Amino acid sequence: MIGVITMLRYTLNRFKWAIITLWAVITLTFIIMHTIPGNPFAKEGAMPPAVYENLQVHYGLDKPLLTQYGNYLLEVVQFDFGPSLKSSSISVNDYILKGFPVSLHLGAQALVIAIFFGLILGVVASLKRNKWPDYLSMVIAIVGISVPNFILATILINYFAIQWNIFPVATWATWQHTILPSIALSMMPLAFIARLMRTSMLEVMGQDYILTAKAKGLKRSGVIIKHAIRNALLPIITILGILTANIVTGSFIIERIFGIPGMGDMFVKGISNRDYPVILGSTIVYSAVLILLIFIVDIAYTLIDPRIKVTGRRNNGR
Amino acid sequence: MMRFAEVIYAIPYLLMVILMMVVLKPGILPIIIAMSITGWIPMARLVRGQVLQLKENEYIHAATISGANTSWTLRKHMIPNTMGPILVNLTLTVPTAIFAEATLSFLGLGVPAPQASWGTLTSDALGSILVGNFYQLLIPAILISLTMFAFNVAGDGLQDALDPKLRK
Repeated sequence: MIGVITMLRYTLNRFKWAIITLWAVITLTFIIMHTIPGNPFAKEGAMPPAVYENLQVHYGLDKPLLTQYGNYLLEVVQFDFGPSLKSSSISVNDYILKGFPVSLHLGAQALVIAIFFGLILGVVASLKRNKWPDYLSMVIAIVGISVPNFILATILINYFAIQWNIFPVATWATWQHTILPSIALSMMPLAFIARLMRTSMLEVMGQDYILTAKAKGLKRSGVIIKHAIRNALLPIITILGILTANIVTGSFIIERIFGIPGMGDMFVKGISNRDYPVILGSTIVYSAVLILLIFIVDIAYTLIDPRIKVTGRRNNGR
Repeated sequence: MMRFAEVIYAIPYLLMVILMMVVLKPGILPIIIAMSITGWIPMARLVRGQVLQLKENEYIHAATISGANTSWTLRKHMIPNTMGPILVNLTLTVPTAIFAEATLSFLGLGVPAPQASWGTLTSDALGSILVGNFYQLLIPAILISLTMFAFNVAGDGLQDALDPKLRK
């Protein structure tokens, strides 16, 4: 058994590294954004020097870089991402508050689809190894990995929305609008999960304890559900962080193609407008969500799998 | 150093590349630079993990006891034994890079106008599907997908071929 103290120390240590990672993300993006030659107001055209100076003072761009960095760090700790450079009335916070729930809805729906169908495909493929269900699932998996999500998205729009008129697209109003983008976003993680689950199931099914369970007369369904799937799930939990990263970066494009007013769309617009506070703010929120998720997965993993030994001091968690 | 890599690893690869491309001028070389700056980390993690695992094997101990020095062990045991996973990872990195470039072009951060990539072609075709010119999207889409498919299958095949434990 893992001692409570060890577990606590491990959690604290992991938390410490999560905070350090987040700080590194903030610093790195800050440095990248501020090494850009030229200035964010260049697109506005020529302006009188006095106006330019006022703008600089208003956004604090006249201060030394280190002061700007310090101020920014202070603001971020208070969840204040500053004003947007493009529209003076809307702050980055407003953008994030508006876009985040939409993106969360889309991402969560895609993740649920990916996990549900990915697991089913993987389990079925492993149980019917080298028969047609296996080949079918693996074809779906390899297609899911090979076809980039923006291509899948446009193909879905072309057939399901334009040609056959089954689903509405191009806004974010009803639940019907969410179906196509969720499918497009979930294909790649779905394929990953299906492949990993198949390998993992095949490995578990070859273990001695499965033989024992069968030998003591358990039903086949009981063996598969209670023993095989439960143990085969562990690798899936480990890659949840990577899959979420995949969905997050996928949503930049999916949201743009489908015209969804989420954070991905905001991020892309921020890039094309060179609106640095928006880019910084959304990068930080994305990274924070991911780091939090990886932290939860790490902690959950040690709780679920008793074979993992936790040594709070030596290996720093990983 | 690995701790630093872990920190960078927590940031999504594509997000980093996009951020880099915002700063760098568009073009093929900057894309390659942006991808390499963040792309070396998974490979480093893989090799580190592999070597850490190999180090504990009996035959390495046997070699050390027989008087092999570090450079000999590295040359004769470590490098040949890590080559397999490195090759597999290499083939699987190519589709990732193609995907990343296509995504960048799609966001307008890819190769600039006179040059064209499959990513910019699909991006340009997006407007024309509404007019019914679906084939304009279909052709670069099929080419991207086929290339990614080929590298993925090659990587899978290499993995099975190079890992004696998976051979049946």
